[in-house]
Amino acid sequence: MNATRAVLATLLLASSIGSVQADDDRDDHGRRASASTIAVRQRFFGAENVDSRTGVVDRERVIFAWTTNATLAVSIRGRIVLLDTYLNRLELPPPPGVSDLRRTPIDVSDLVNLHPEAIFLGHGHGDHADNAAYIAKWLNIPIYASPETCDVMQVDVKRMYNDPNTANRGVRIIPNGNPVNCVPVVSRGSVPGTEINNIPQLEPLACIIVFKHIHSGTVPTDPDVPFVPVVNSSDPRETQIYPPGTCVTPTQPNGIQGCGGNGTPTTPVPGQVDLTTTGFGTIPGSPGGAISLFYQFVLRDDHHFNFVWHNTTGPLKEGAGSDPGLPSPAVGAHLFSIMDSLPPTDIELGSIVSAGYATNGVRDPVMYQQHLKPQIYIPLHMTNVAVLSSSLEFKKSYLQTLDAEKAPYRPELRWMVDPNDYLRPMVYDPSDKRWANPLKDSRVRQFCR
Amino acid sequence: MRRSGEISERRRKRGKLAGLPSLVPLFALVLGLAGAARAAAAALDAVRIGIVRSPAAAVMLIAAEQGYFRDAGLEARIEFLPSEASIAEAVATRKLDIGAATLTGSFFKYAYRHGLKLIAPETADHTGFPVDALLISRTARDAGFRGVRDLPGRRIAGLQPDSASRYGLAKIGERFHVDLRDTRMVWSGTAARALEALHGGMVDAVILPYRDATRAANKGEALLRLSDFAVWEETAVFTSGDTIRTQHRLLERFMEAYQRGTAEYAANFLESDDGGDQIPGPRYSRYMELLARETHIEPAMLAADRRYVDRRGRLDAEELARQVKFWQQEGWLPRGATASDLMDVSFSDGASSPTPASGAPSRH
Repeated sequence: MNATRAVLATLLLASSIGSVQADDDRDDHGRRASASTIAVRQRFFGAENVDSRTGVVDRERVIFAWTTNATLAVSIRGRIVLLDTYLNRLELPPPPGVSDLRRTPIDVSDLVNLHPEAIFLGHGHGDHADNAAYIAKWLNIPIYASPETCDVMQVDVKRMYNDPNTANRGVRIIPNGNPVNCVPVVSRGSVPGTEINNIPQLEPLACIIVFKHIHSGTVPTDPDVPFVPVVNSSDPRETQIYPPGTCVTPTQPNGIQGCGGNGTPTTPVPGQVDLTTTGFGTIPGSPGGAISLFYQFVLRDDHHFNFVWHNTTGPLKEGAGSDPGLPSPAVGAHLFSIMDSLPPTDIELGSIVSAGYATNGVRDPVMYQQHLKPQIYIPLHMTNVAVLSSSLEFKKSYLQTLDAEKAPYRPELRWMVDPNDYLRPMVYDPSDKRWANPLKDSRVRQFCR
Repeated sequence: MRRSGEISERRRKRGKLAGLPSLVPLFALVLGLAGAARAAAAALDAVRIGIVRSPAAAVMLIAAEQGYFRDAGLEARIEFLPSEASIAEAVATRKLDIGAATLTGSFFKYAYRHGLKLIAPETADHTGFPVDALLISRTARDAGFRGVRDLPGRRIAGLQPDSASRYGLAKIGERFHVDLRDTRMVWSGTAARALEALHGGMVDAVILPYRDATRAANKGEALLRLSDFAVWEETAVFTSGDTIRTQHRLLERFMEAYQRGTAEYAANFLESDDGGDQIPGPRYSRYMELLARETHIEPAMLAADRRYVDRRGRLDAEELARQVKFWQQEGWLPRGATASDLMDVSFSDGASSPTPASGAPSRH
């Protein structure tokens, strides 16, 4: 019960943060952020990278903090954004004074306290978009997503606002029922790759390039490439080390994967609250779940240091998916040609896991990579679809696939393993000469207007 | 022509009325509505559709249930026939306007002889939605028969020489550059006899419906879902050339309703999460009840045998042309037969893909 009270307290704290957010969010002006914001930023980005007085994150660095699955908190020279908002194994915290041994020792209130200035969603499925509407409402920040996912975000707002939340004494989950500021970044029902747009959120610091690509999918085994199976299995010590706790969402834990928001519903107990996205991201008439966006964040200066982020990796070779114009290998080929022509990629943060892993292993992530040619690859999506602690199995399969395919391009790997690498700051110096590339200027001019 | 298995949108409406409470004013109102509905139905054009009781019938049944045919000015008279052969015969003799059938060699043969044409897809053997499987005996598996590249030199039992899975196997051979001339096919007629041959060591593997193969795989056999290696159209909707000539508008309206049905089916049956696990749509449970009731198949069986349907309801002309060529090579169709003799893609608006714009980036 203590634990549930603690969550209720964080919920209420979030409410109070939301109500004073405009006054407290002063870090860009060198003023003091709240103690909770400073603490969370230090925890996410490293104490050495956060001003302990103002909460400002190092303005010279780009820092990534993995917070499960494909979700990242990123400080881009001090500008903080969230890439996805889902948290795997979102469980109630222990009572005060008791060791926090949860597999995921992160709460949604941490994402609120972080005070990001925007949320970018790669697609609308629950294992990416859960919590997005909640965070955006409390902080009054924009969500960038497909128009179909924006529809679902508005449904989430209505549902949360009308939630009687009787388990928590009727406290309003979100401050009001007004629409959330969800900005569609591609046209509704568009064919993937037919629009390449810019998002001005981080200007003049950084240009953001976005286009629609294809959600991961299952296609027949490709006869043209060697099939290296993935052993999608968990560390046998998982349940002993991390016994499932009580889900924040009022659902039963779903096997070893724990709280996914899609387990069997239960009657809420104090502390439990439903912040998931409605229908796992798809509602009648608005199939937002699988509509997927590919982002590239490019600094305007500093060798145009950049990173791409794709929280799903589709079977582009076949161009198979559910969007208009698909299935079409021509659409997939066009998406690859866009990747070929982007400003040369420094860091790829991309899903190593595909729904097609059973028939094609990690072929699709490798194909993306052969076109993007990133200097560094950081894999994502290791806690959903991939069973918990299977990350190194995917790494093994990835390396074997590169060998089997005699892949001409091999990036440096920064392989992450759950849950150890959660909140381990990955710090990059954009001014380092290694990011210099003579092709970048013209490509940035082409893609960033 | 109507049989005991016949249903129609109009009759279903009356069936619903029977279940309403007997409050007199409400009943009177309902009767009034029913009368209006009957009057409206009288203005509808009848379209006679033949299907068998199978999971593949889902789209047709959902389109009828949702009133999509009625919206298109049609009264769908759906008849359950005992066999696909009888449906083909009824369409050829114009006792039915439209039918659905599995794309077997004998179907193509009959269709060519009687001027039947495919106008819409129904279901496909598709990755993630397996219809057929290859069950490899433990002995053969231990001897190195592990995948489709090991097919040459093996003895395989199938059910019928004209079955759709035979085309599927050939397509797999083509994709994986496997020469199947050395693969010896044995036709057993029934699943029981095929399994007998497998367990008796007379064959190395059998091709069975996936649901039968999963049930039978209990002695260390290896099971390969054929659609993990190739996908193909398994069943399709057809009409007669005469109906196309004389009832073109009716078929267009049928297709409008049918394609709404494929989209509705996809939204409720084919959505999945990142891991490919199904996310049932909002009307999934209701449709499962409908399908179980109309097909006489247990809901659990239907759930385990979800069929893939192109949500746009478009014929894959290229794929069907390949099938026609295959059955031609196998002697089921004469040399002179062409794909256009056996299909009319105009109703489903073809299967062409838009050319992606190569455009320069635009400002958001």
